[in-house]
Amino acid sequence: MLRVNIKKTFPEFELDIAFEAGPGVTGILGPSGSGKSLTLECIAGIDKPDEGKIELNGRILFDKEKHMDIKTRHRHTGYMFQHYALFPHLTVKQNLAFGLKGQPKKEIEEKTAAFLKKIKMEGFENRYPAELSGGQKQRVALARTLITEPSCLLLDEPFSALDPDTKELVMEEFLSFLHDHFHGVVLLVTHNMEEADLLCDNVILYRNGKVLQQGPKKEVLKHAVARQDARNPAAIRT
Amino acid sequence: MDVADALLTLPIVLPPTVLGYYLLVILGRQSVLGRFLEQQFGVTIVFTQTGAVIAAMCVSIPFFIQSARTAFAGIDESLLHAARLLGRTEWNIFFSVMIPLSWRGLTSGVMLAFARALGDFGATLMVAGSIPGKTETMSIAIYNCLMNGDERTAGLLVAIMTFLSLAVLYGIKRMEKKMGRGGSRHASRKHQKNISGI
Repeated sequence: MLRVNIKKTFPEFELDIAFEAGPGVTGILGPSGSGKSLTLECIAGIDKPDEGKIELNGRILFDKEKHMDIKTRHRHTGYMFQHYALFPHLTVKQNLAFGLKGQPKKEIEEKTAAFLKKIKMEGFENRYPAELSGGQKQRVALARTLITEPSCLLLDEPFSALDPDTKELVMEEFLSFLHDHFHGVVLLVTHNMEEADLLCDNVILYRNGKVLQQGPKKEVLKHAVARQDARNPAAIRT
Repeated sequence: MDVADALLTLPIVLPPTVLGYYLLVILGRQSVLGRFLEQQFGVTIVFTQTGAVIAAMCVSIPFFIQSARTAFAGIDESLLHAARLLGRTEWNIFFSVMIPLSWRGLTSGVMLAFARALGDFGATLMVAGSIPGKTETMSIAIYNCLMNGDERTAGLLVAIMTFLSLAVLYGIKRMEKKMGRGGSRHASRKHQKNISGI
């Protein structure tokens, strides 16, 4: 269970949100600039809220009142960046092993081999990220976080860097892979309603740094569509 | 931070003789630091090879710092975040991510600094003098040879310096070209080989 209740103020923007997310995929849906990525960054410890509290599976990650702010490297949050952030100077295998530093060599070998197989990239272990396709990079990035057994998974626009033709296929594979290999809280940031519909169990609707609505995806998306259509009937999405 | 920044960049714009003057004031035998070093460790800096090295370092290191800073600033920040999220410490990230991704910039910085140190005249002359066979650097020797009418030696030294400078320039250009080619992927040398080997 992930409990987030935070505030962060900028000169022209204020993030002020509260939500809870249980196991399964929870989508954070909203237009760009509504604070979705910022929320993930605060949970991961990349950014720091001005006020509030973040709690993951009973462990406090951040609490302004108690002056608690666990360092990013101790939070054990799995994070997938929009452009994957694979280390360009390391091979696929070295990228996978990056979060396993300190573990016995044999264990690292076994784990990386197992994950290479899981993401169907055996034979690619000595390639560099620049030599991979978008979908392959995404799989390596996902495996790189999952291999560390994170306590939650944060996905920042995981499909925006892929070209539309391959997107749908990748999404299905991604979803089944996720169901097979991760059973904790997954937060997925997206501005695409279809993506949210396809991938999420629950949806949190963002607007201007506030939570507009949250709940099971069917309810939230139905309202979201109605609202969007009412505001701008010409822009009914495909 | 701004004060430190200005102090580190100042030697780039300051005339070398002025820099040499400051070094004399700070490290001279009458200064607090100079006296301390001499009494405690028996080390004198002025008019010694140590002094020549310190003077050359002071005029050249800012060039390295500038290149290093540019190289580090070019690293995609999400890579550093990714490394933190994967449990690495800041020190570890410095050595395993930052240095490998910016080594070309660092290397060209080293070469630039080397060339500047090699060519220094003013600061070295102020701090180390030009004691023949001891603190007479090549740049100073060229001047002295000309003054003494030894044009053959001067010419030889000029040729050596020109060759070294051209070599450094060529080296830097090569680095920059590779950086450009590596571009967004920051390809390592090993990687370049891989690509061309396909």
